[in-house]
Parts: sequence; C-alpha cells; structure tokens
Amino acid sequence: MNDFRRGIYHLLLRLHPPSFRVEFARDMALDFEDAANTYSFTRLLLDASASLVRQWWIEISPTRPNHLSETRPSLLNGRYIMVHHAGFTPLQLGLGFIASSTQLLLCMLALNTAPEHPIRFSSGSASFSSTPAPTDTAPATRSSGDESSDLFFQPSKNTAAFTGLGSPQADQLKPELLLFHPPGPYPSYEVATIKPITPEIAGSLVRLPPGGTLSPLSIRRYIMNAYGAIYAAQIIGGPDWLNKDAYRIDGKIPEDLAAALQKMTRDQRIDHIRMMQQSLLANRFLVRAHFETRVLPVYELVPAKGGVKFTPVAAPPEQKPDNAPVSAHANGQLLPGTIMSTPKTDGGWVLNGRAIKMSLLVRVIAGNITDRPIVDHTGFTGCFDITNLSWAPLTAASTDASDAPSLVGALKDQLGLAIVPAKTPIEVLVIDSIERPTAN
Amino acid sequence: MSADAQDHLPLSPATLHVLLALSGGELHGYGIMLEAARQSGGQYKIGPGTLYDNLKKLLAAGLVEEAHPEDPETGARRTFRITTLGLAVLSAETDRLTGVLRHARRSIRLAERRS
Repeated sequence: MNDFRRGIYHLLLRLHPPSFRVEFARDMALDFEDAANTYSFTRLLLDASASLVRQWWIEISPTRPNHLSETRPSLLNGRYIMVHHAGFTPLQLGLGFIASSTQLLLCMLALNTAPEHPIRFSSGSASFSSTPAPTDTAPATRSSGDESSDLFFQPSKNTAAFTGLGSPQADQLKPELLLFHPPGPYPSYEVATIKPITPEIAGSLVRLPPGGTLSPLSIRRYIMNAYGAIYAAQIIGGPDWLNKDAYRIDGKIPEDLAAALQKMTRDQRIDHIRMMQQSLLANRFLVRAHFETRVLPVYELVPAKGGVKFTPVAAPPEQKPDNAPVSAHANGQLLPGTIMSTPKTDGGWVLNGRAIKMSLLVRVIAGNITDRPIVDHTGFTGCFDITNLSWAPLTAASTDASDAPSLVGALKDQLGLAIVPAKTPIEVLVIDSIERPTAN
Repeated sequence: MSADAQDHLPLSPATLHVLLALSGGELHGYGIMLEAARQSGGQYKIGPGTLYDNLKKLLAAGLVEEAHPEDPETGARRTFRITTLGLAVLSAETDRLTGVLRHARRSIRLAERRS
C-alpha cells in the first residue's frame, strides 16, 4: 500500500464529521487496508468522498433523520434524497453550498499545512542558520565570549499550523510527546570544552543499554537531552557519526546564572540546562533543524478491560526551590512523588511508587519497552501508588528462573493498564545539517 | 409482520446486502463487504464508506448491533450482528421483493404474449 494513497484516504476520514469519525473511522481505515488489494484505489476514494458528503449533509441538515420516526418513509432517506424530494428549498440549497465550500476549504487547508517550519537561531540581525558568518563557522578560533547569550529562539509554527485550523481535525493532529521549545533568550555556557572519546574508552565509561546501539555519550543522545526527547525516534536525520562518535562535553555555567539556578525549581533548572545545550549545539555543531509532526508507531498505555485497578491518592506537596534535597526513600519509605525499581535475585524487577503521576510510570515503562515510544492515553491525571509491581524481563535467563509475568502482563494484572500498538502524531526534530566540532 | 419492520421498507440495495450478509452470523466490516460481493456474484461491491454509512443508520435504527468491540490486545476486529428487528425487516423486504418479482414476471409474460 502506497503511503501517499493511505494518507489521502486517512485525510478523507479525518474530514468526516466528528460523530461519525469517532465511531467508524478506525473501522473504515482497517477495511481500506484489507480492500486495497481487491478494490481499485479510485473506487475506494470515491466511496469515501461520497460518504464524506453524505455524513456532512446528515450532520448539518436541519431535519436530521430520525431513524425510528414514523415520518421517515424508509432507510433510503439521505442516500436517495433527490428521488424522494420534489425539490430543494432555498434553505437546503444554501446549506448544501455552505457545506461544500467548507469541505473544500478544509481540504485546501489540510493540504497546504506544510510540515517544515525551520527553527531559526538568530544572533542580532544575522540569521545563524541560513548563512553563518565566518566567525561562527570557526568554533576553534572563537573566544568563550563568542558563545553569546543573545541568541533568540523562534518557536516552531508546526503545532500552531495544525491547531490553527480551529477544527476537530486539527485537534486530532495535535502531536504528542512534545519537544522542548525554549521560551525566550538562550543562556549559554561561559565556556565549553568538547573532546572526542575513543570508542574503547567510551565503552568503559558507560554501560550501553541492552541491545541498544546509541551511546549515552553520542551527540544524538545530547540532542535528545537538549530538546527533551524521550525517544531516539524523535530525533530524525543527521549523519551516522551522531550515533557512533562519543564526546565528552563540559560546559561552565556563568556564576550569576549558577546562582540563579539555585533559586529555581527542578523543572526550571532542567529547562535552562537544555537551553544552554541547544545554544552549544547551534554554536559549536552548527546545527540546523526543524520541528515536524509525524505519525509514528507507538504503544498506547490505556485502561485494560475492567478499568484501572488503582485509586487516586493525594498529590505530593510542591517542591520549593529552597527545599533541602532529600533521599527518595528517607526513613525506609518512598517519598511522595517518587518511584523506584529494584532488581530481584531471580533477574526480575520490583517497582514501587508513591503518589506518582502517570507520566512517571510511562518513563519506567519506556526504559523497559524500547522498540516504540509509549504515549499515555489513560486519561488519568491524578496521582496513585504502586506496590510491589513485579515482572520479569523477556530474556531467556529470567524467564526460566522466575514465574513473574512480563511487564505488560504485570501492568494489566496489577494496575489494570494495557499496552496496545497504535500510530499517533509525534513531534520530532529533523536535523537538516550538523558539523563535527573542532575539539578544544 | 410487525408494523415496525414495515416502517423501514423499502431497503436500499446496500442496506439489503448488509442485512443479508449479517443474517449468516457475526461479521466485521470487511467480512460484510466480502459477503455482499459473494452474494451478488461479485456484481455488487460495497466500499467502506457506503458500508459504514449504512451501518450507522442500521445501528441507530436498531436493526444491527455491535456483537463484539475491537480488542486491541488480540487484534480482533469489531463485529456486528443482526437484531431480531433486523431479521424481521429483512424478512419483510424479501416478501416485498418477492411480490415485486411476481408482478414483474407476470408483466413480462403478458408483454411477450402481446408481442
């Protein structure tokens, strides 16, 4: 099946009225996949288009058919309405014209929603990303002060472009797993050193994730951190060395900023660090990139049949910047808002959490199920406890030694949560160009 | 024949084929499409859009009901089945069509004799 054809068909499905789309669009999409080999694409397209017109007509018709009404002569109503009606009233003609025009407008808007919205790193009036000045392209000769802090970020218009439609279709395209969009001026490291590390040394410094090929010291991982990407799949493109070369990057934070960071909350500190990392990527690696929304295979975390098996608990107290740092398991008990997984002797794991949000559990799941991003579609926004959630990783050794279920089974049995494959719009960063830095 | 069943007559070809397909048992959407094509010897094929337009009406009218929801865990598709009212409507439509056929055959015979 051609992705382009599938995209057109799915676009037609998205243009259906919400009431119809919610109930039948998924079934229609599945049937389209099945029928693609036996039906011509043109026929399927015309069929979906006819359905689109019929459903919008039913939706906006002032005399919406009542299927059990005695006044309704037959099920042919709507389908063969021209046969049964002596003629259209001016009101009906007007509504039909409005409906047709609206559909045409929606199609044009959807087709003109360009996926590419470059990020511009600008320093003063010069566009950093389009035509870098000679001084910018020579990081080795740049003084520490050249990593200026007056870089500004123009947020991606990608999300706004989709949501700007102001329609249910646009809401459906709203991406998940949003990346970090800096809110304002970039802070920068006072000075940053970037040193390549040989693969042998890098291997001894870090333990690579099981089955993973992405070094934690790789630049792709650094970009992930800088943009708040949870999954490697969210950073697209770039040369192969992004995955293989390892670098040690040390940045010195200016004293005034270091003092300011002490007064910030944890999330604010993380945001500032990310902005400094993005600034470094722009200055030293000459990164050009843009945000996109792409429909990617994911796993949805949803309530299993029978619903969730936990009850909401009170949210943990808000962490103040001046709160003294405390251990996550002070006095032998987990602090509210914390989660902890501990290995068992048989190779399995035990997870405990206290007053945690679903996003925290998703993080833990993402560390164990790595082939697709995990998106939270539970609809649960409160906090809950996890007590001794036990599972065995799907490896031969642990499976033989333990009767514990897999993580998927444990989530279902103990928490009433299911993990199901799906496809959903995800925000990604597409790297247009990047250069190796000159070591210093 | 109940008055309720008569209220839904006559049926469109698509509605008739959907009900006829479901009279054999529970089916998912694509199964209905295949069964409708089989019943008509491949001469009448329903596309997904036409199918779900009609299923929406049939569900609202209570002639068809959802048999099993989609099960993402097993990959099982959502299935539909015909209701008692749906069977009554199908039966009434068959009777009506039988009368139409009888009348049509008689008219054709008379026309042939005249010619």
